[in-house]
Amino acid sequence: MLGYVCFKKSVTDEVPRLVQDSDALNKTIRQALDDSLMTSELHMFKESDPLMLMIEAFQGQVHRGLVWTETGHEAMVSQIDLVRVLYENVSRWDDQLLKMSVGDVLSREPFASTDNQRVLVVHDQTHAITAFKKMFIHQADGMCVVDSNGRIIADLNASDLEGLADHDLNILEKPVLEFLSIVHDGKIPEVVLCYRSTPLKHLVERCVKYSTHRVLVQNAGGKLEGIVTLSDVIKIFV
Amino acid sequence: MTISFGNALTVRDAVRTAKQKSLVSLDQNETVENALRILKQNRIQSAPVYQKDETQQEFVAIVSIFGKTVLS
Repeated sequence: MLGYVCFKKSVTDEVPRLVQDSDALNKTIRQALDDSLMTSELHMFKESDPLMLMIEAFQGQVHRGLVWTETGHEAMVSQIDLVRVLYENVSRWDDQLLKMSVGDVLSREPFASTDNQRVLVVHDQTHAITAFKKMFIHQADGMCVVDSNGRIIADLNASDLEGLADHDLNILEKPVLEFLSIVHDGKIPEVVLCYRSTPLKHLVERCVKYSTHRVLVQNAGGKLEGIVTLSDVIKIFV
Repeated sequence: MTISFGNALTVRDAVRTAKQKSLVSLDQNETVENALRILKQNRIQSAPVYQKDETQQEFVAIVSIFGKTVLS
């Protein structure tokens, strides 16, 4: 949300600049929704609903839902929770699923590929604010950071903005690697990678192990070949 | 491809594995700044938003601290 506040006013600028829009922060959630400052989604399920209902809902832009439990409470379930269930039940996968690889996922339309706008790349010397602006313009959740030889060295995500306070915003003016190091307590997060030949089962295992919503696909030279998101994975099960 | 796979399991299985065990919800009259603070304090990335009157409370949206929900 702070990301939004920063970039909304700089989106048409050639050089992004930090903008602190205190008006936006002072709005109520209702006003922010009414003014389209925030978009919303509300998908509800009952505990007894077949999981397929959730699979169908989560295969696209819906990333979380609210569940009415039989004890009268509500629970939030996200895409990664669903993928965890799919992985726990790998014994139920049919032969077709078990034989699938990441390459099969990438070759399915409209799945991601390097031609797709969802695969965004920035160089390691790019300032974080410029990178997030690009992410914002392309309405993406993340982007791949590469070195001068085009090799993957980091993964920048919208979630890296999580928890940034007003007084922290100046770190957005640092290069992306330095930004990532600062927001992750001095350690740049490991990039979750796979190859085209990686079995779907192992891809799903990686998503669950790292609780990541996307995995970067690299070639033998360590260069980006594509990206697989949780939506892509879930779509396989529809 | 795997319709029977989906029907063999229920949403209950996903609730069981959900990381966010306790539900934090937000009043729609809360400011965006306070909402951010609440999400950060609870180390969560999204929360349902409710509206309420004297007699009932109703969920109207789910908002997120990041991602397309916010960046779009």
